[in-house]
Amino acid sequence: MNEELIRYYLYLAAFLFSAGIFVVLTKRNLIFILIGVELLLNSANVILATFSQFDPHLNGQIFAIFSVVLTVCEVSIALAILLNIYRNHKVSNLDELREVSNE
Amino acid sequence: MNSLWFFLIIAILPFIGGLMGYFSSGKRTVFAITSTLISFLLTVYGIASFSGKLSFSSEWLNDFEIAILIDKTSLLLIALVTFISILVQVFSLEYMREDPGKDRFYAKLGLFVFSMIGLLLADNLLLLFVFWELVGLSSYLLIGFWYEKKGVSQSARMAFMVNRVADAALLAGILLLYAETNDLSIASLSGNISFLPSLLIAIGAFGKSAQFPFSGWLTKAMVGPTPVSALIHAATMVAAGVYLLFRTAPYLHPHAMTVIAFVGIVTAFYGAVCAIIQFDVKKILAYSTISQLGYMAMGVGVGAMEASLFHLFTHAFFKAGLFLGAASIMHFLHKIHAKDAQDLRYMGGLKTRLPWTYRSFLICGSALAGLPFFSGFMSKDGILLGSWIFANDHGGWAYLIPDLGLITAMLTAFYVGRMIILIFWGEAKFMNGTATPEKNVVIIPLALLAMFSIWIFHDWNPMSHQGWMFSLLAITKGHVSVGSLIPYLSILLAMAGIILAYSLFKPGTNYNSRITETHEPVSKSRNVVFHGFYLTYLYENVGKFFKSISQVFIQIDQKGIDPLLHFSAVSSVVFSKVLALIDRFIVDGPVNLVAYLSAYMGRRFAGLSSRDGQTQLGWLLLIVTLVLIYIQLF
Repeated sequence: MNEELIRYYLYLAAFLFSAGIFVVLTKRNLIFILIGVELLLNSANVILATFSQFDPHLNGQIFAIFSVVLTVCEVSIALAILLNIYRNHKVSNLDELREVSNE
Repeated sequence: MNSLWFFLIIAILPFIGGLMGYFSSGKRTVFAITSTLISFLLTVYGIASFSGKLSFSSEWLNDFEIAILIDKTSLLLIALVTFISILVQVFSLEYMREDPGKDRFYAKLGLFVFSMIGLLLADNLLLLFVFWELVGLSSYLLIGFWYEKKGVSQSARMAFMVNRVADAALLAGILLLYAETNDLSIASLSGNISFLPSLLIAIGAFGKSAQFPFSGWLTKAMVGPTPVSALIHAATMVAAGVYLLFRTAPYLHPHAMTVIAFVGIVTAFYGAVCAIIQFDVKKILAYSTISQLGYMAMGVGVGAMEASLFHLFTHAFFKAGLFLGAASIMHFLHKIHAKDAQDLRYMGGLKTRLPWTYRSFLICGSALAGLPFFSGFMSKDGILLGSWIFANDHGGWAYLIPDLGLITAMLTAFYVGRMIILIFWGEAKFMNGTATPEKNVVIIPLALLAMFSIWIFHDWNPMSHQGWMFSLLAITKGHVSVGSLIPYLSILLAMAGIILAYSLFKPGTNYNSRITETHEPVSKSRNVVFHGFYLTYLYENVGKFFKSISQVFIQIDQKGIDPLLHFSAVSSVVFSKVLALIDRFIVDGPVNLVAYLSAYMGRRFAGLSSRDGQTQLGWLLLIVTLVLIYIQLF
């Protein structure tokens, strides 16, 4: 693999990170924020996978697979919590949730 | 007999009788006359079986007692009031026979007699004032009895209002006296009252007794029924002022007494002068009453209190007799001709038509003129003697009082002579109707009143100055009689007055035939006297004067004070606006600026720790980036 090409993987990771930050900072909906957080995680995975090419043991790629599995678990739990919150409090907005949780 | 109820019954009976007559179905006047008669008889019984003084008091308010006091003087005067009241009521049976308001008339008379007796019984000055006002009220009601007639209600109102002015002074005097002594009982007065309350009380008495300058109301009061004039405006009510003076005189300030003496003699002279040229027979009698009341006030003022009271007593009889005589004449003339029944110029030759009226008029007139062997002579001479003694004591200016008194005596004889000659002598004029003889109800009161004008009913000695009633009841303190020319002088002057009147007005003189259609004399100075020196106009002008003063003040208020107030209001508003501007921009400005700045800064910094999680996250990211850049670059 050409070292020149690594740049493009990093561009992709940077794009994903920026998009994730953008979504997290601008969107009010909890689902969107969760998606933004996923984007941030995936940009990190992309960087892990990219730089593991220079590692003969491929530890980076194994770590990335672990990370994906963990992310799946985490997202499923987080979605379950969000759905339950929505079911109980009829809110999906981050700021409103602050006030609701105080009750 | 020694009970309060006895006297209360005496007082209230005439009023109850009048009311019963008013409310009974037949409008019977017999109730009024009977109850007054009972009241009179009870009083006579009281006098006969009574000695000393009685007083009853009860607490009205805390620490304030009202009391009535009965002594011989008050009982004697109550007897006088009820007696004359009976005669007037009997006389009115004929005089008011065809009047539809006859029951009202008797009810009002009852109210008057009740209040007059109350006034005579009262010991407390405040209680006396209450009855004082009540007699004023009943006088007003009776003056305005024929209220449908033109001008009657105005005259009644004027009489009432002039009295109110004087009564205000009386009330002020009573209150001042209360402030001074803390007691209003006449019986417990002692020492001298200071000058101002003395004068105010005297002014109150002047008002009721028609003294100068309050005398104008009495001539206005003559629009009432003539029997009322006989009872109220000659015999009793107007004497209430003299009675008050008699009661309080021993305690009044000496200067106030001098004022009373002078006002009295001025009034006596004024009344006599005005009486001379009147044509209206009731006006003559009214002015003569003013004049005689002046004598009484003067008598009190010079210290001859007993003589004054005696004159009050005798005057009540002969003046009531004269008024009833005048009423009889008017009653007769109303049936005979359509001319003014009160005008002397349309009378004459009534001697044969009204023989009983003529006789009583002659006797009562002689008493008024002060001829010897008549009651008026005795009492008037007592007063003149008193004034002579007073003048001897004080000397100089004080001789004015007996001198004017003697001149007035002559003038009195003159106008009495003129009146009798013009009414009864000469030939009859305008007599085209049939003459109706006098009835018994007219003759009896006239005869009784004339009888009591003869000396023998007061004292066996025609030259005495004290009636037997007074010496019997020991009211007098034994007036020292001085050997003086006064009685002879007054007899001479009275004779001279009558002779002068006869020579001027005897039948056949041209005066008698000169009848002018105008009511007023031609010459200017006579006109002034004819209108009683325009006293009533004076009252009106005083009223108008105060009205115009108030107009002037209104003008000053509107033209001067209002714009000033307006200007100051506007200028203060403008000033406050300017102040508000200064306040808003110069004082508030920096404060607001500081507040605005700090609020702005606060808002900016508050963004860092916003409640919004995403904003916080943004700031966090920015700062981390800055830190990373810092690490990269340095």
